[in-house]
Amino acid sequence: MSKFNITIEIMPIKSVLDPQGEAIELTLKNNSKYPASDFRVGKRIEFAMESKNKTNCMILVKELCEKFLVNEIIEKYKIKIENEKN
Amino acid sequence: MKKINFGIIQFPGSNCEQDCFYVIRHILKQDCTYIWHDSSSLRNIDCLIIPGGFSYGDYLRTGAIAAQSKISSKIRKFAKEGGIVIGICNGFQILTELKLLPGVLLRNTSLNFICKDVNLKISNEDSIFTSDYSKGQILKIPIAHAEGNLFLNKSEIKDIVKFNQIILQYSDLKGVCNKNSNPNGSILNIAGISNKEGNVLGLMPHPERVSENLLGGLDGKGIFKSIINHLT
Repeated sequence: MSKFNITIEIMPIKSVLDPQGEAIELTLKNNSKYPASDFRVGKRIEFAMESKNKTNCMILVKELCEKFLVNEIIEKYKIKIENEKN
Repeated sequence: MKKINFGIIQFPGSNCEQDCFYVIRHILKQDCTYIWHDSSSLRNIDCLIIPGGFSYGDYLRTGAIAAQSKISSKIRKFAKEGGIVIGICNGFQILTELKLLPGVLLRNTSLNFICKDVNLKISNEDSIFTSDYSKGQILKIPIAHAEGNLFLNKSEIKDIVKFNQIILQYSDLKGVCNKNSNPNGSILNIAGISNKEGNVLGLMPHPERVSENLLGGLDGKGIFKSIINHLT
């Protein structure tokens, strides 16, 4: 068994209200120094998982996302898997 | 006459279970027990109440962690076998995360926690939960939530209309459902929906808080009375 470090980036899909992104954008509207727009705020989850190889690990992590960590009605996600550095 | 046996699920962070218990046991004179989230059995209950609160501190997404607890598979099985389940406020959020009801409850469009009385229209008086009311009847029941803005994708909207799943809608006193009578941005002004089969209801308003005159009204009592009538 190998140990893998997993990172999951979760973002609200476009059609979903993102109050945090909206609040940041509204605040910056008063500051002409930063002409920034289209803010979206998501979340990042990090954890470790044991698996015999990276492919198996990916299958398991994807299932965990679909069943628990992500709600696909309102969120999209990206998985990053790295071998644990010794 | 046989008493109906209600079970109220308690999660860490539930905070409306005692109000529900009081209404069932002391106002409606039925049997009622608490069921801790770590239990492996629902015992012999006739109706399951998932009360309001902030289960697991609303971590990850509201209701998401509660939907993974030990009791969740028993709740799902009970509902799939036709058992009557009512989820109030956080209980509604948990039922959507359990996929027993469609959609997700997002932050209110105002971004505020809203705690006030709202007017509600009975949109389906034929359901297990609303037979004690008449069609189009307007109720006054309080809401108290930050995430009550129901989001449904296009196919879910089509389905809930087709299968008559809209039970309660935010409205004005004349029964008009529009932006002005919508406190939280919920799609189609929805305050309560059932599953296709009609045995599971989720609603954001708190009927247990208006079930005796001392607390300002009786408009919520009919929800529980309808369930009792159905089971008797």
